[in-house]
Amino acid sequence: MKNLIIILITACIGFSANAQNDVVTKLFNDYYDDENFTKISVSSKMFELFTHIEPGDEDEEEILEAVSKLKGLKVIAADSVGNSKELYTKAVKKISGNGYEELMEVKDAEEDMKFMIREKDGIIDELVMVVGGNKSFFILSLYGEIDLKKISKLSKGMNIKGMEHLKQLDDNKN
Amino acid sequence: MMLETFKSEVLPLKNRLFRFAYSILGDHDLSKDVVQETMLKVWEKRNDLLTIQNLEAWCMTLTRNFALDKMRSKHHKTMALIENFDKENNERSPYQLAELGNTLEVIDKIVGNLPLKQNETFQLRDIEGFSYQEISEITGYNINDVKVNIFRARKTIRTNLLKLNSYGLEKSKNAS
Amino acid sequence: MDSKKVKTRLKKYWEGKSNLNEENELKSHFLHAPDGADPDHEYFTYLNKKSTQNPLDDQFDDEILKLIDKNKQSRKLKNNVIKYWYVAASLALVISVSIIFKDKFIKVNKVENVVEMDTYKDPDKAFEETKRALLLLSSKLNQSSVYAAQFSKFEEHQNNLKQN
Repeated sequence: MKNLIIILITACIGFSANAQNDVVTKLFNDYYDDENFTKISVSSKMFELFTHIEPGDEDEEEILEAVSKLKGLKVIAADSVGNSKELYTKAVKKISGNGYEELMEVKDAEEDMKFMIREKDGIIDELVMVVGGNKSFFILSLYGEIDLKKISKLSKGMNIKGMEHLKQLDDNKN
Repeated sequence: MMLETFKSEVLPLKNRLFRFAYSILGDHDLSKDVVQETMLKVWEKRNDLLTIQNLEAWCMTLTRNFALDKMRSKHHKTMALIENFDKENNERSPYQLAELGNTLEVIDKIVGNLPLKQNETFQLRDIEGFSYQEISEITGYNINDVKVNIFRARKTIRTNLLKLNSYGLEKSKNAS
Repeated sequence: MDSKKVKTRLKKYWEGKSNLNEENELKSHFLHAPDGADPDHEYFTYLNKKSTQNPLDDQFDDEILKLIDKNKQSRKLKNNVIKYWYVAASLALVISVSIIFKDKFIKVNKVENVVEMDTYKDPDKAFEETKRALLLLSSKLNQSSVYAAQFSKFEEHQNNLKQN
């Protein structure tokens, strides 16, 4: 039974990777069993469910609006790996060329960042961000109809390094 | 964040967090609880730390929130404490204070009687050595507020100390 | 520091005009100064004493690490639950795909199906994560667009979007 399940899972993962031919998913699977990496995956089904969430405040409303046309999200993150720069170069190499176009690249003393997009009829339908810091490594991939302007606007109202966000979480708990 | 990072960067903050919690709560066990809660929260959120630029300040914020929660909690017996914090309570004269013991304890009392805002900002600046910017991040007060409150706290302490000192001198003169 | 310097520093300090460096210098000056009974001396001795109080010892570390270990184990359990959920989801997927396959497999909409795994079952939790990811993306976008070598490209996209 156990073997059967494993075979089925492998088949499914292999199948889905095939069907999508999507580099980030492949990377995601590469790191899947590695405990050093945090993996987050949110499906289109889940994004549909988000439409039922009542916005708690204005900021949340903005975010809900921004996600309304999205179809999926994947994140791979590690914040203390020795070979983060190497991982970064490897990931960028793997991703670029696969129909992705470079949007921008930033290199500074702290971290390297690269944004890549895939478009269809002038609309961005996938965005990949790769970040390689001194010890941190981060890939974020977003699917669906992406409005860069809306997204870049989001953090402007909340520029408190995620603390505000955390406070909300705490308040909800109590 | 891996366990090693947690051990080397977060755990060593414990006494700093404790002192800050203690300055708000004035209770050893409660403050210890607060530090413990903070540590567990950081561990729980270890995967989000990428978005956090100043880990130490962030831990202080968590500690502050937990401590204030504790202070507000209705079950907490020391509701009276809050009232003390809220009004400008410097009524106790330094003469009374002098009877309490040595100078360090006296300063402790003066600091404990400062209004919350002054107490917090003074603690963070003069005991823990944070910059105005960091204090503003931790407490959410704006920078000017931070500066003014630190100034007032120092002034209150100094005025009381000076009074106390002249009282002490007089006392020793009378004795001789 | 000579006494004259100490005096000016103290004045600056009490006027609230000293910077962190100067304040630290004052503290360490009084740490090494001989005992004195003046209020300034007592005050800085107080600060020095307070900032070196360490009531929590190694035992506290052990307690925390123990608690974390517990936390880890419960997390692993949760992971397992999710893994079984994957199995169920995968089975459902295989079945549904084979049904679709009968008709026209090739026309499965790729974008609709890009991500079919979910790390979170609870929409609220998933939304929190999405929110966090979007905010991070957003702040990085803003951060980079400041330096971006290819800023024009970014602009161009924004303009395109405006027109659409």
